[in-house]
Amino acid sequence: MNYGITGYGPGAWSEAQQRAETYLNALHGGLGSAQRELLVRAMQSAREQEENVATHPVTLVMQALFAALSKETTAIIAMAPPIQRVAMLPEKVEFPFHEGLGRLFRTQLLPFAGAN
Amino acid sequence: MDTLPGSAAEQVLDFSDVAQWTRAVPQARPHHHRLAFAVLIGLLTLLAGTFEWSLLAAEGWSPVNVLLFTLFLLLFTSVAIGFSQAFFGFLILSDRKTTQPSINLTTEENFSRLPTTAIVVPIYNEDVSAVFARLRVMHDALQSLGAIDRFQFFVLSDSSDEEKVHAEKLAWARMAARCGPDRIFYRRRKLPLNRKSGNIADFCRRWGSQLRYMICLDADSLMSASTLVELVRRMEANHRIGILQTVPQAINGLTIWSRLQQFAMSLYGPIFAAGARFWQQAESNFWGHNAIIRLAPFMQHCALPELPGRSSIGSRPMSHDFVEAALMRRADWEVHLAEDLGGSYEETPPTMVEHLKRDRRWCQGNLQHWPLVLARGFKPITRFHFLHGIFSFLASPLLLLVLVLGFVKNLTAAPFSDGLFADAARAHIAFLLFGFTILLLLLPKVLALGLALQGGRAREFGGAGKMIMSTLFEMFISILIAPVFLFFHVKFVLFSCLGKKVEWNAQQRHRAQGIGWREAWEVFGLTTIAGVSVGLITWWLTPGYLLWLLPIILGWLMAVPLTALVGSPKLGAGLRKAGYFLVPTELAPPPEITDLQRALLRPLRPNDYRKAAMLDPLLHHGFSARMKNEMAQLHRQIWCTPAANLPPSWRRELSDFALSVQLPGEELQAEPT
Repeated sequence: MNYGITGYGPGAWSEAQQRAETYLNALHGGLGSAQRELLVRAMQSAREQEENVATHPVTLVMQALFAALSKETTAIIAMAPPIQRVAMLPEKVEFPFHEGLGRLFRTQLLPFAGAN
Repeated sequence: MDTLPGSAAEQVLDFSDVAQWTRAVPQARPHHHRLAFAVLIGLLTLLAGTFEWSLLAAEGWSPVNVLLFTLFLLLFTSVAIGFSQAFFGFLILSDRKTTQPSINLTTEENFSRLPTTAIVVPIYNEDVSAVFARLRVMHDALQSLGAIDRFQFFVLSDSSDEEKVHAEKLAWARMAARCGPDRIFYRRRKLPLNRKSGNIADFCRRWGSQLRYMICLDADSLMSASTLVELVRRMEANHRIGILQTVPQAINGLTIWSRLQQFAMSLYGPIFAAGARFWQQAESNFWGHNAIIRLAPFMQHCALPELPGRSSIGSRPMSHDFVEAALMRRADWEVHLAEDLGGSYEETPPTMVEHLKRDRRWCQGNLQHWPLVLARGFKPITRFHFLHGIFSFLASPLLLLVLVLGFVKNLTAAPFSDGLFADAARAHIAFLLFGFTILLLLLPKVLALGLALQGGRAREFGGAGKMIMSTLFEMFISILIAPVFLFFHVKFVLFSCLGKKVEWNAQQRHRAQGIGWREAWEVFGLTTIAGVSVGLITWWLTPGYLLWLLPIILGWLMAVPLTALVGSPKLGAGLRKAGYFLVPTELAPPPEITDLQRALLRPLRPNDYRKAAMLDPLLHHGFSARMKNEMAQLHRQIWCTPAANLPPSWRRELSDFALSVQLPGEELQAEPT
């Protein structure tokens, strides 16, 4: 079995693939075809480098993935949209009966209904 | 912008193209419907009143009997209103093929013509992961439908618990990073003035002028994408509508108590809702959530007025929804109930204790509406809504007064007697009247059951046998529990009259452990003591009257065991397994519910700010522009280091994170490369 110059076996590559899958899954909420394609490209790129560099596959794959992801432009996310402040004032509500009662009885009869 | 009041708008706009749905509600018929509704209530009350009259007239019209007769008429009218509403709803639904036809939108052709609508979710110390799981489900459903561009989510937090606030911000950041910019927003008020209504008003003042509609949701609300779009379409089709309320179905019930309510809402709810629409027409009510609101008139007319005088409860209406609907109607905008529209869901309190806590808030809120009943400018139907809301709680002390008066009368007229009515003829009438009242209370449930059986919907409730048994059990529990609610509603009304303030606590929407006997005793111990005392005193002084009080006393005595039993999630699961209290959303769950259940099962990612910022790819990429360099480098370093070379703590964090990313039952396959 040829593990390459660095000698990292299938276990290391499997760990690298799992790591990349986890990352993409967390980033996109699942692994669609676009994410699979990105993963394959990152793996290929890592494989190409493996011949010359004695680096762990996890590092190689993830670095390739970060390089690919950094090309995707991310828009700036705002916590709230721009404010256009307007007034929202209550319209007048008249309580003739209640106020009449209030004039008759000065004490507060029904606390839940305000003072009478 | 929709700034014209309804009547003026009617003159200006051409309504020839209104939707089929609005055509089904012709403007000229409400008076006929209301007349029919009022006549039925009148006839039923007249019939029962005649029985009661004959009972009391034989004793002579003493002041106590006059008072008893008046109270009887008041209480019976309330029963007759409920029955009449269900009866007309039954007639309407008998004629309709399905109770809640789901709107299945599949094309994208018209979505671009719809205005952008805000989906507004006010929260207060809620279960953060559950709130955002619901939002994610709605977002994904709208995205699949191709209508996501027409909606923006606003999470409006009034949370006071700092841990919850952190979790909310983190959950928002994750969802925002996932959904992209300008899709979900988060705002937290530092000073939660006027609670939920103040929170909504704050949203309106900041962003309301930029939007035409907002769909108001509760923390536990869920709506299907089709329903969200359909609400906007209906508002666009009829420019007279100010508020369009859906009828949410209860979901995700675990305890017997919540499953009972879920079953009742699914089986009986449709006939009550159809009946409500029959007589309310364009003058329906707002329930505070799962509804769409036209923002311009809402902001112009529906700011909550200050109630007169000084009150310990506060001068702003607590039950703001009724008042907002009333103000909308006062300005001539229509308020409709879209009872024919499915895909709207909520969750119900899991235990009786939580249910009563909610009732206490509603009681104070409804009683607070008292000055508004006679305030200037409101429509008569609006006044009726206020009165009906007040009476739904006031009925309990009035019924208790009737029982006390009956006891006192029996005691003074025939102390130590063997029966309330000495002669057989009067006893016969009394039993007849009692039976008639029970019939009116239970018949709507039987009608709803019959409708489901006749419409071939039994399978949706687990089959005919199980559905009938569930209905009978629900009736039995309702009868046993009604006296407990009577006891507490009396207490709530008294507390309100004394001006005792209601605390604003977050609702406990899920209880994994249910409610223990000790807790049940702490809450319902007094009810049990009252049951024993009243039973003993009645048996000792007027044994004949005990028979009439028996249903009440039995309910009070059973309060503790009943609360513990119906609050148990284990028993709830057992009944579900046995096929009882099943509802259509469980047997054939629509995609939004299955998606929600999957989303709720997903374990939480680390909620520690620093760890999350370092580990989570969503946060790293979504906020890379704002992230500090060291933090970004650390993120890359962790993810680029093989597990064996990571410090043990980070190895564990990374492993936990990987687990949390997977859905339950889903395993990442390591393919050989």
